[in-house]
Amino acid sequence: MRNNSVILSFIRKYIISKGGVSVPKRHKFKRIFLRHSIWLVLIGVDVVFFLLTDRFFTTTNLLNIVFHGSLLGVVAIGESICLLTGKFDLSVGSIVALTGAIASWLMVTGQAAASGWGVHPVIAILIALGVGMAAGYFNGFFIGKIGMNPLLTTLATMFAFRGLALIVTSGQTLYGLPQLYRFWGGGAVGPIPAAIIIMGILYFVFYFILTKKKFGRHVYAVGGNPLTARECGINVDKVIISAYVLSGLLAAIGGILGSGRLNAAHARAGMGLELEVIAAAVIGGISLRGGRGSIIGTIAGMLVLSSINSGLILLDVPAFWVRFTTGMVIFLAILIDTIKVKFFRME
Amino acid sequence: MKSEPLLRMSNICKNFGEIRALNNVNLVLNQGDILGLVGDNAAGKSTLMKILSGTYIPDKGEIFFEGRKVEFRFPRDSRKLGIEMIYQDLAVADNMDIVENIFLGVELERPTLGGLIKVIDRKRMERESWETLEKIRINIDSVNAKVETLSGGQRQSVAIARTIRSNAKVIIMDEPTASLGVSEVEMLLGLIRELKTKNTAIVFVSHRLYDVFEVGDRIMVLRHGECVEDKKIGDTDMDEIRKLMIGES
Repeated sequence: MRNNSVILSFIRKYIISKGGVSVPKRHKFKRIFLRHSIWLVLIGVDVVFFLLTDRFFTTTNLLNIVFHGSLLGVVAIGESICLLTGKFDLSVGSIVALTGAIASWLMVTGQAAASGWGVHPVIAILIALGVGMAAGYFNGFFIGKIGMNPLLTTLATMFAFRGLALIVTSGQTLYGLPQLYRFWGGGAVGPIPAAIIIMGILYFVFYFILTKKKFGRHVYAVGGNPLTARECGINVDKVIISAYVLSGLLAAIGGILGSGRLNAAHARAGMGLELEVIAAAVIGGISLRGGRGSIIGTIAGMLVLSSINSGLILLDVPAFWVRFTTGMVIFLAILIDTIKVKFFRME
Repeated sequence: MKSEPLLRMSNICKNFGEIRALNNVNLVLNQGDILGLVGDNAAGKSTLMKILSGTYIPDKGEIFFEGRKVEFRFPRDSRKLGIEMIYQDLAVADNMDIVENIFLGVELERPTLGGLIKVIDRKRMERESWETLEKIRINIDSVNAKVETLSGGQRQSVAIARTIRSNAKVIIMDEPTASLGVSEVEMLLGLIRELKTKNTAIVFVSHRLYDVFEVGDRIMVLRHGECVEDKKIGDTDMDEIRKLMIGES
């Protein structure tokens, strides 16, 4: 026991930044190392699977990991922004289903639940994006402006939006989507799937916004100290509403990618996605308290979840165990993060 | 010969349900005035200041700034006119660094990509942060440090730096010396004197009568939501004020 406290105090002394004093370079390195530990976890997970099966570390499989994680990755951007403002959005999975359903319903004719209009894919995509933003605005208005509880409100819209998806599809699966629509989710540019490129562009854009634009910094301010932000003249309500609109927009992009990849839209798309995206964000370092973390970490979180999924499948682990294992990994990641905060007082 | 005061709060009333927080309170402030606002707990000091800063809206009464009637519905309304408030607890954003705190809400931007997009001008903000902190002689090694790692006095200094940059006409300080050490209190009082020479008016809300008598021009006492005294510092003493605060005669 005494040894532990010696180690802890040593770490505390050399790793915690001394108040306002610039930390020597070697200590700074340790801090950065611990703060971005999720990348170590990712490497660790990959090494484990590399040792367990030789089918894991192939170009095809690695590409697959990123490809299959792209839906999660894209939607996780929006969820991360909500988390950064100190709120969360449980309705993203349902928005994925709803937007994919509406776009497909508009484009498809001659099926049981089809609209019969045969709308052009580009218009269908724009409408789907609009629906996503509208759904996000609905959430944001009642949570940001009216002040309703985010958990309960997005729980309610989670049910409502999925219900709308059921209505739109009449419980059927819509298939036979146009090539131009399917390209984004399922097509490729050379060897690289379009979905990966889109995800990459989105991460770049939103990383830029969150770090270099006024709005992005206000997101962090609102998440960390909403009262201080308000007193400094920041329109807190508008920031929160915007966060939810972005969450809805990115969920809509996810809906388009998802239904495009499967060439099918149904009301059960994205079930459970909301918890996976929150997990990806949190294990990537975004704090549930708000105002802390970077969406670069969310990429790592997504890759960890996707790698585990891929590795377990390659190891022929029965499908039921995959969910359990993923749950335990997420649990461990959050536990490590909590220990980091409590014992080392780091974020 | 009296000209129109910089700030006049007239017959301010504020109720919270059945509680009468403020009852016909008047406050006058001229340029360069340092007004000490004192009173026991729940006297109404914070409420009055929150009305002035735009956080609360008065039930009755009017506010005149530079001769014109004004209405504050949001904190940014008063900020726009040049009324700034330094809070006791809520002054800083813990999760952000010193530079971002000093520029919170008023971030500097520069154009990029051939003028198409505006991004935050971090370099200029860092430079001006250093300059401001040097001006108020704060000893902080790195402006990139996150504010949560600072001591209470250093955090207060960051909030003050933010207010100074804003070139405010009226600065409201709510218990500014509460978490400061001895030398930091001296620094703050010196800063207040310096601001006075620049014609900034300051409302100094404090429990510490000693500090108020050190720098104040006038002192106003609130008790149970009413103004019970408004005098020049020179015309009174701490004993009298203390008695007025607690209601002894």
